[in-house]
Amino acid sequence: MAASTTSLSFRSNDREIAAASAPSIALAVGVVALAAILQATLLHVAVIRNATPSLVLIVVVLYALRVGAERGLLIGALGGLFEDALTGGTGGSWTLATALVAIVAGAMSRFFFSDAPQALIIAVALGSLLRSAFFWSIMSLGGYPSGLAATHLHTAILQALYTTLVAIPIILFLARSKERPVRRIKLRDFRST
Amino acid sequence: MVPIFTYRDERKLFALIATIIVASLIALVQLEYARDGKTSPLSLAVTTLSAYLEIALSAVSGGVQHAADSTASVPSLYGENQRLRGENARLRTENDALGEQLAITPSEDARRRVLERFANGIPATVIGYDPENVMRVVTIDRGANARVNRDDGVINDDGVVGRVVEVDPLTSKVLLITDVTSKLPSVVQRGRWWGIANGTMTRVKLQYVSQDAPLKVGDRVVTGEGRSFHAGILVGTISRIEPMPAGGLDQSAIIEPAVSFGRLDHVLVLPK
Repeated sequence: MAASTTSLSFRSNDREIAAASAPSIALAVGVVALAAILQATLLHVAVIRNATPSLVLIVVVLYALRVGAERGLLIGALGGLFEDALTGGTGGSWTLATALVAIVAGAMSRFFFSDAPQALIIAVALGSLLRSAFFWSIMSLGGYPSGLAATHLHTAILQALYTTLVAIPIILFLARSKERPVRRIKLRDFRST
Repeated sequence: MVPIFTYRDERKLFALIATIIVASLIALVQLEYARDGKTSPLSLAVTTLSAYLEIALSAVSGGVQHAADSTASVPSLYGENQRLRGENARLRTENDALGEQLAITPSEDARRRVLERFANGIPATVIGYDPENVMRVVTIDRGANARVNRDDGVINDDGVVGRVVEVDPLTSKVLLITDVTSKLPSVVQRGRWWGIANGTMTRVKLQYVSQDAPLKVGDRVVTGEGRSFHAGILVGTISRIEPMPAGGLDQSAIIEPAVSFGRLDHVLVLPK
C-alpha cells in the first residue's frame, strides 16, 4: 500500500527511500549553479528594500532535507562557493554559511522525514535566517564593519520572508509533480523479493 | 337628342379652367420671385420636402447597397484584414526597434563622451551583481587580459562608480562607492574642503569634514587625488547635512550619488 505523499514519518525506511529517489548529485550541482547565476544576472531587478530571494538556499535546503547531511554538505558548499565567486569580497563566507545550513538541514532529516509542503516551507524560512546569522558572524570575524548589525538583521528577516514566498510555489510544484507512491511500491517490492 | 355638354362635362371644364388659372397664378408667382432672384415659398416647400425624401431614400438605398456590398465582399475583407494585421505587426516591430534605438542612443552618446574625456580608459560592461545583494559589488566584462588592475577607478558618464577589488583574467569585481567598506577621499568643490566618502549601502556619507566648512545642500562633491582616482570626478551632491555633535571636531553630510546604481550599464575603468 502506498504511503501518503504529504506525511511526517519517523521511520528510517522512508528516509532511505526518499534519499534513494532524490535527484543525482550532478543534477543538483547543475541546478544550484544555475540558481547562483540567475541570482547574479537577473534577480537584481527583484530587490526589495535591499533583500533578494535566495534560490541557492532553496535548492540546498530542499536537497539536504531529502538526501541527508553528507550529500547536502557537498551541494551546500558548492552553492556557497558559486556565490562567493560571483560576489567578490566575501572570501569563503557564503561557502561556510551555506555548508553549515546544509549540515543542519541534513542532520534534521536523520530524525524524521517529511515531504509535507508546510514543513519544507518552514525549513526554508529557518534556513534563510540561519544562513544570514552564520554569514554575518563569519564576516564579522573577518573584520567586516559591524556597525550596521540592525540593518543586516532587518535585511535578513526580509530576505527570509522573500525567499520563503519564492519557495512556496516551487515546493508546491515539486509536491504535485513527483511520483513517490509508485516509486515506493517498486522499491518495496524489490526489497521483499 | 344628346346635349353637347353634360353636367359632368361642365364640372370637368370648370376644373380644367381652375387648374389653368391656379397654374397661371403659380407661374406668375414663380416668375415674380424668379425675377427678383429669390426662391418662392412654393419652391422652397417643394425642395425642402423633396430633400427630406431624398435623404430618407438615399439612406435606405445606401444601407441596402452597403449591406449587399458587405455581404458580397466578405471573402475579400478577410484577406484585407489579414494583410492589415500583418502590416500592423510589422509596424509594431518597427516601432519597438525604433524605441529601443532611442533608448540606447543616449547611453551610447554618454559612453562616447566619457571615452573622449578619458582616452586611456578601458570601456567595460556590467555583467553581474552580487547574488545575495549583501555587498555593493558588480562584475564587469574586462579583466587582467584587458590590463585592468586592482584599485583601478571605475566611472561612467555621471560620475564615480567605484573601484576594482578583484581581477580575474576575463572579469573584474568593482566595489561600488555605496558599499560600507568603500572609502574615497573626496573634496567639496565649492570650498575645497576635504573629507572621506563612506558608503552606507544606499547612499554615501561624507565624513571628517572640517567643522569650519560652511557646507550647503546642493554642494558638489568630487574625488580628491588618491589611489584610485585623479582629482575632479563627480561623486555626487550633498543632500543633507548632519547636525554636528556637541564638542565634535568635524562634520558629516549625506551625498546623493551622481551615478544611478540601479541602471549601471557601460562603465570605464581608469588605469592609474
